Amino acid sequence: MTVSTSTSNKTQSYGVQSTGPANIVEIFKFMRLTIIWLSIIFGAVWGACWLFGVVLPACVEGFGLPAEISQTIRYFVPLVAIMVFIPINAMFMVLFERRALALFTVRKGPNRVGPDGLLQTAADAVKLLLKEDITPRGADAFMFTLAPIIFFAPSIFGCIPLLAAATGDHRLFSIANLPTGIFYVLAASSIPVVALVMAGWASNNKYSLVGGLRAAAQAISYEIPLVLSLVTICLLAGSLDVVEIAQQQVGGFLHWNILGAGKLLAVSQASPITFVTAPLLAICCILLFWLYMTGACAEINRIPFDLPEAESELVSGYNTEYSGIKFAIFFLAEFTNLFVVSAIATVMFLGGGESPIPGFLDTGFFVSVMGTLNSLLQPVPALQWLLNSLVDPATLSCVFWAVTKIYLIVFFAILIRGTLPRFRIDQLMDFSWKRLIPLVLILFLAVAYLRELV
Amino acid sequence: MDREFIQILEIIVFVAAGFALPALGMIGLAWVLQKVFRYHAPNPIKNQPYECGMEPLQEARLQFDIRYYLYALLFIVFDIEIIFLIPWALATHDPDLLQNFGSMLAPIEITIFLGILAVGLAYAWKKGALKWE
Repeated sequence: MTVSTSTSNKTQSYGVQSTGPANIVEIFKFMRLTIIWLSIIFGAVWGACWLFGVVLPACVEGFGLPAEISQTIRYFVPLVAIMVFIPINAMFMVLFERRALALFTVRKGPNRVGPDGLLQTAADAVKLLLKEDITPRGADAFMFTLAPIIFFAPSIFGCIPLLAAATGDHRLFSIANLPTGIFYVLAASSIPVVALVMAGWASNNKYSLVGGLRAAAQAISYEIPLVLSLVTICLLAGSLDVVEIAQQQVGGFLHWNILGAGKLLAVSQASPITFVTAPLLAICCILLFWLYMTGACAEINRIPFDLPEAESELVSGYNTEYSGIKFAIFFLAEFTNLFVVSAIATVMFLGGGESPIPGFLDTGFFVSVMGTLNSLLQPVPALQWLLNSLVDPATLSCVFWAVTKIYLIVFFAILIRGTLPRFRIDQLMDFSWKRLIPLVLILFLAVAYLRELV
Repeated sequence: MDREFIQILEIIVFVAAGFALPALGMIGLAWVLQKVFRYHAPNPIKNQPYECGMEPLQEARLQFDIRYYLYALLFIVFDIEIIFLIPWALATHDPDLLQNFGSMLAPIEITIFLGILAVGLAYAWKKGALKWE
């Protein structure tokens, strides 16, 4: 895009250049890149799970070893899935965010490394791995190294129950489903702030110190609305088990927790009060979703709540002194955290892996496609075995919808980042303590009463 | 083996793996590469803490006014409150309780509980504890 040289009608010429067909081409490229990357990620994870959960136990049993060994190998499938998924997915999300921000600001974004910038973040990761690791003078070297590790670890072990929810309690992943799932996820998600304070204190840098302290202030303020909104959903669902909460929302978007868990359909002439209470409950749940997204954006330090690493005030906040691979870990962990909070929102509010409209690309559709493929492959039993061991239609539909919803929420978070300016620190604290916390307490009580009245 | 026992083992393995991936797989790998290719060459200028190019005047860990200790105190109160609310939220679905006491007992109880907390928050607000100077 060339800069217009005419000084006369500047805004008009800019408008003509920015909203032409060129932008549609960019949107098309962005969607193509997303589909290619998601196929790579899920191909890799799916293949790894298949090798580890189906082929390896079959081989072990084929050699005549006891069944306990193959069963023990199957228990490690969730771990393999997470370890393969998280690094690749975080790399893709960095690219996704950069390309999306480029779309919003009418730029092209990274488009040089690989076909259409596909390998940009992979190249970045290699570059950061090979960079010199600098520890600043006067820094506490042990803490300085430990901080990124502690920051990254919860995003790996915190998402165990979500894995079971996103795969529809598939038999290989159901071992990862805890009865107190959401409680465990919340406990794990409050660890990273310790790492931010550690990073700030260990760096021996004034910007880092202020960034770390701001991170602590922000985390303690926004954790309350975040957790209380999720507890309210647990009150509505009557369970802490994420798989159970996801399965309660089967049957189209009216059954989702964001619209009051199917209470809108329970409106009846027999009890006229439900004509008031059911819509009120739905409004409460929509507000709770908004509260959750606000609190989550603040917890993971995203714009407009990125006070701890405000570039224009604190250089780069708590990670000013970090370079090389330690900086890369901070970076990847931030994006993984964004993915994890989107996954929680999907499971708790948006029905997990359920299709929004019954009959539209739901489990039955995938089952019928599998049946067709099976009958086509009838003459080749080897291929048929391969297909049936590789693909479970129910899991496929669940993963498809869960990932679609998660990435829509991620896109929404990036849209917010591209739209809103940063808060001031006193506004930030006031917004939480004087607005969000009273609101979430009122909503909690409202849901407690309305649930009984519907 | 017991299902709960396996799940606890699973969590322990996951936590260990969560720490091992960044520690060994990333930082360890970078350290090995650095040793093998010998590009680690620190010098006093490079190791100086960043302060926009100026020589830092003193240690960064100076006395610092933590303005939010009152927020931190309130946070503890609310965090414990959430711990109390979670079992309550699950217990309201107990059929015995609904049958014996009616469906409105639990919400009224929690209203009293949250009312006391709300009075506390209002008091702190009025006293100026929620003011960021």
